[in-house]
Amino acid sequence: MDFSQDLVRGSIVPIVLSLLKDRPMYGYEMVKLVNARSSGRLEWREGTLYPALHHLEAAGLVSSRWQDALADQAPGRQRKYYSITRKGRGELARRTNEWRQFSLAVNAMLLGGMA
Amino acid sequence: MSAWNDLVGRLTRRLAVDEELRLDVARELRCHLEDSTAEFRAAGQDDKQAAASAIKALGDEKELAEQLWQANRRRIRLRGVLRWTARATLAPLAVVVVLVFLVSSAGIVMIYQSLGEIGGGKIIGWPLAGLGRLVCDPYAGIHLTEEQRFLLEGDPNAKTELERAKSISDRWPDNPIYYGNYIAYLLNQQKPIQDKPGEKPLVDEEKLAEVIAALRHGEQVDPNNAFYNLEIASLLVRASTILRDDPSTTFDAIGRDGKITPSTVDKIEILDAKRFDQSLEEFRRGLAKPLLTSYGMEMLRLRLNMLPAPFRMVQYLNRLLMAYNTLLPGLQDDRTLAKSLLAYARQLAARGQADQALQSPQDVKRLAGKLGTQSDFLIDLLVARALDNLALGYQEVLDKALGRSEAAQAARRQRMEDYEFFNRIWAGRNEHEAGIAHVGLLESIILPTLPGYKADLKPLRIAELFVAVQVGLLGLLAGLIVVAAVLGLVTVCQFIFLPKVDRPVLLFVGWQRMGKICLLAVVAPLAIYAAYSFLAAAFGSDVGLTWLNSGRLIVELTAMACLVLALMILMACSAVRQRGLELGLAVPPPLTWRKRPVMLGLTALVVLAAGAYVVAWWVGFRGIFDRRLDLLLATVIVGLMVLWGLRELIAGFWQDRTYLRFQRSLRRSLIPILAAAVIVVGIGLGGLLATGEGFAVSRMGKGLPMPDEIKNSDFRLLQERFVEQEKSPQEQVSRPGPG
Repeated sequence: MDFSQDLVRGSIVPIVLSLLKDRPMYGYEMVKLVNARSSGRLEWREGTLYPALHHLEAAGLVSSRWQDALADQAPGRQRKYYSITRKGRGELARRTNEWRQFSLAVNAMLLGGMA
Repeated sequence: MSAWNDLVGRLTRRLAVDEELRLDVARELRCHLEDSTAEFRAAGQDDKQAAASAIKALGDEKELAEQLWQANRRRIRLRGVLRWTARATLAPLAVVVVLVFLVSSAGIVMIYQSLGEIGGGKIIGWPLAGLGRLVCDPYAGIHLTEEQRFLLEGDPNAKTELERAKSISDRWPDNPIYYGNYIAYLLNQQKPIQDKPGEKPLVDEEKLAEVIAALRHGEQVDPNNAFYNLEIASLLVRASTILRDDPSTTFDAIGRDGKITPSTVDKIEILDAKRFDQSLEEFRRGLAKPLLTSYGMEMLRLRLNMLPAPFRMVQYLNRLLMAYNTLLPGLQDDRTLAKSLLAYARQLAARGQADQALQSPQDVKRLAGKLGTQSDFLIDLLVARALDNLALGYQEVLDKALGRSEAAQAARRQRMEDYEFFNRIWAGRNEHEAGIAHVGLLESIILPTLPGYKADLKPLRIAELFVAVQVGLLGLLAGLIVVAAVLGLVTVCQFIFLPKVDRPVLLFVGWQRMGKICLLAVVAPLAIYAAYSFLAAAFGSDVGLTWLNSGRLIVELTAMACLVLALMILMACSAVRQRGLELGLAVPPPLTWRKRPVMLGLTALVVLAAGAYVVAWWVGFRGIFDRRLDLLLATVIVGLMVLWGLRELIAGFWQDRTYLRFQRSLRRSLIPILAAAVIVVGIGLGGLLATGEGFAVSRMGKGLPMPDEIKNSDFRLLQERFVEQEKSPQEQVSRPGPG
């Protein structure tokens, strides 16, 4: 089932922050991971990610640095890795809570109403 | 792949207003396309299909270009503002930091030079001294009322020291201290009589009349002071007589080494009897007065009391300079007057006027007593003792001439006792005489090797060292500014003459790399040097600047400045290289030392020479070095540094065209790094050094050595002897205080 683009676009920020909360990642890695974890249901247009990352970086929620790729991935190449900042972690917590409340409310309206 | 490059070029075209950001985004997108293509290829597609699939997976080109612009435009605006702010502030602020150092160092060097000139030599002949005279306000940061400032400097419109002194006296015409100070300058600078021993004096009558009138006025301002009468007497004697050595008559003198040498007496030829008689009358009038002072020390104390305790070395040095400028003109050299009177006594004795003849040595002894008891300045005290001894010598000669052999013997005995007393004082223990080479440069100017002198010299020596390191830091900062200016000039030329596409990009290496450069290129070497200096001071006797180690210090500071400069440039180049690689610029492979055999060889030689010099100095071969060798080595180190810089700059122009854009960008990007380094190092390290200097100077307290040099040395015994000799109750008249 394809989600509407508005829904997908609106979820990019919390998903990116959530991906980065454990370790730094580069753009392509994030795209592949999201597609794999959502079993293709969140089919991101690859290019969409970069403007989102740049927004987050400009807002101070993530930071980036170029560094050598891991030896088992692409030895000798450099990639731009993004890391979540302290401010980004706060934003992730806020967004997660917001999403929880929102989904509860929507569930109550949609699923509760149907029942 | 050109398809990617074209696509990425189109996607990032709108970002081109911030070329560095555009390059960064473009490289990120290219990396993405590389990864994506590799995956499609792994899935079985050929190269062409894989590339097309990767481009398709990226999404709609127009939409993505717009999104990238929207996502970055705020950042671009902010970066633009930051870039312009940096452009407007970094370079000017760096120049201001260097100027502050320059002005402060110029002030110090100027005063050192002035003190050196007072001491009879030239200490440092740098052009900095001239700048110091132009720009330094020695009372900067001190609150002074207009009246206080006037007392310190006189009329701001006055052109000479004499005019300044006169303006103070004119403003407060009844004050004897200010008038005495003016007369001291007048006598020091207006010389109405040119006389040499044995030659007829050349008298400028107009000038003489002017000076005598000023002295007469002094008599009205301060009627109890013999100073004015004695100066008139001295001028009239010099204008009316010729003094000649008379080798036929001698008396024995004993030097500080205990050796006896014959001392000749003078004979006098009177050219103008009327004027000579006037001088005798003036002398007697003066002798009857209780005071004898030009108020030099009072004037100095008055000025010092207006100023707070110094907190910078330049302020301390300025007080010292002020002390010499105030005291030296007021020195009372009555030797010519005394010699003339004593030589005249020989004439009187020859004419058989024994009583009158024998009165002269007594008069000169009274003059010496007056000067000896009232002098605050060691030189005045030594002059008084010389007059006293001379009077005894003439006493012996006169007694012999008049056939009074017992009296002559008594005079001789008295004089021998005086030599013994005086030489015993000189033989007193001097705590810093043995290590005179180890005292600070300044101390060896301001503190003669006075016997028994007690003073804590360490704070002054430490303050001197802090000042020397600040001058060294000025050299480093000036070097950085010069390199930045040369690079700036090259960049400006490239902006003028190159098309837009070839112009250099300003690459920001990031705060982390900047921090690393400051830490490894500046803080670490300087911390190691500070530890070495501390250990050297802890285990050796050489703290501060000394005549012995100043040369070594020049070599060490030059080597350190060049090392820090070289490390900073190398690390900054490396940081820009890394940034260039991140942005996908064509960056040339790093030049290893193996590819620079000549520079490597030269550097190794100079490092070895500098190392050998410092080691040899420490193990004790100090005697073989002189200041020319120090300066030569320092100059070679600086020369090598300049050679290396020029070679790198020129080599950059001759590289493969592929790397031209990077080379240009490198030169442009180094400018803000160097400017920032100047600001950080100048404010940070300069602040630390200034604090250390202030701490050391504050430990030195408010005092200067001169006002207490008699009291703090064994020469107080000489003054005590004069006091004992002066028993006459009418002499006990108090002098005006500093007010």
